[in-house]
Amino acid sequence: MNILLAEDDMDIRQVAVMSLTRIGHHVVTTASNGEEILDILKQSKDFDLILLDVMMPMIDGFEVCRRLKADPTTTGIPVIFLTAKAQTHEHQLGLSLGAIGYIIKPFDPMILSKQILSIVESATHEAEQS
Amino acid sequence: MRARQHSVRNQSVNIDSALGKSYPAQQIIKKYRPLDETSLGGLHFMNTDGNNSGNNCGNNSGSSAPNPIDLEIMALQYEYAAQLPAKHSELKALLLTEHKEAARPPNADAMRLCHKIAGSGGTYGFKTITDACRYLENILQKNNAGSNILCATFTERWLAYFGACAETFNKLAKAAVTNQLHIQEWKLALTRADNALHKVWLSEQQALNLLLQKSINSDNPDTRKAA
Repeated sequence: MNILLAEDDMDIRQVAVMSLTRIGHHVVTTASNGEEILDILKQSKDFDLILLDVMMPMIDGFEVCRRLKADPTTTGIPVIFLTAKAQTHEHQLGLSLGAIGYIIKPFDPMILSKQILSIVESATHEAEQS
Repeated sequence: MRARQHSVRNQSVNIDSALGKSYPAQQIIKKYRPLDETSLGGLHFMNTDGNNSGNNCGNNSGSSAPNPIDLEIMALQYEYAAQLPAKHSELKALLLTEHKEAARPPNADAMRLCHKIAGSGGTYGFKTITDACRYLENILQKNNAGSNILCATFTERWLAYFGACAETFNKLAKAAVTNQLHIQEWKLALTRADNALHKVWLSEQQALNLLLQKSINSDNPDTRKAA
C-alpha cells in the first residue's frame, strides 16, 4: 500500500515508518503536521491510506479528516487515526468523521501493519455489503 | 523515592562511563554479536526492598539467529531510552515554570508533552512510561479551566517517579549495549525492569491520588496557583 502518515512526534514517526516499511512492506510518505498533509495531498492523491495523528500543531487530525472527507477529490482515501487520544468520545468522534478505523497508541510495531490490513479489509467488506 | 528506585547494577562494566555516549541504530546493529554466558557480566536487578532479585538477565540464548526486525526495534529502543532523561528534564522545566500567559491554560505544554510520551513510551516497550504520562495527562486535561490543581508535592513526587523510570531504562539500555546483550536477553531485561517499575507505579499512583485529593479539598498552602 502507498501510505501517507501524518505524525508530529518524531519518535512515533520513526518507529511507525520502520514498522510499515520493514514489516508491512508498504511505501510511506510522512507529514509532520496537519497543514503539511493537506499540502502533500494537493500535489498527489495517489495514496491508498492516510494514517492520521490527532494532536498535531497547526491543524489537528480531526479537522484534517473533516476537510478530507468534505473534498470530493480526497473523500475516497481511507483514513485511520493513530492516536494516543484513548477516550471513548474521541474514538467515536474519529469514526463519525468518516475514518474507517482508530488505532490507539501505544501500538505494537510488530503488528501495526496487520491491524491496518484488518481494518482496511473489514471496511472493504462492509462497503461491498452495503 | 530514591531509596525505592529500581536500579541496574553492572558489576563488570562501569555504567557511568557509558553515560553521554550516543548509540545510533546502525552502530548497534553492526556491533551486535550473540553473547556467550561469560560476556553477560553481572547485570542484576534490585527489587523494591533493595534485594537482589537473583539471576542475571541473560539465559544464554545467544545461539539463535536474531530477526533483523527485532534488532532494528532493539536499536530504536536503545535510542529512545537514551532520550528519556532529556524528556524528564523537559517535562520538569514545563511543570515547574510559572505560567505568565493568561490566555493559555496552565501546563498546556506539559500536557502536550505528556500526551506524546504516553503514546511513544509503550510503543517502544516502556509501558510504565505510558502509564505515568497518561495519568498526568488526564489530570492536566482537567486543568483546562484555568486553575492549577497540582500542588508542588504532587508534581515533585510524579517527577521523581518519572525520573527514576527514565534513569533506570537509560542505564539498562547502556548496560545492554556495553554487554552486547542478545535480543532475547534484552527483551527479558526490559520486561523485568518494566514490570518492577510498574509495581512501584501502582503504589505511587495511590499516593499521588491522595495528594491530589488533598490539594483539591483543602486550601493547601503548597498549591501552586496559575499566574
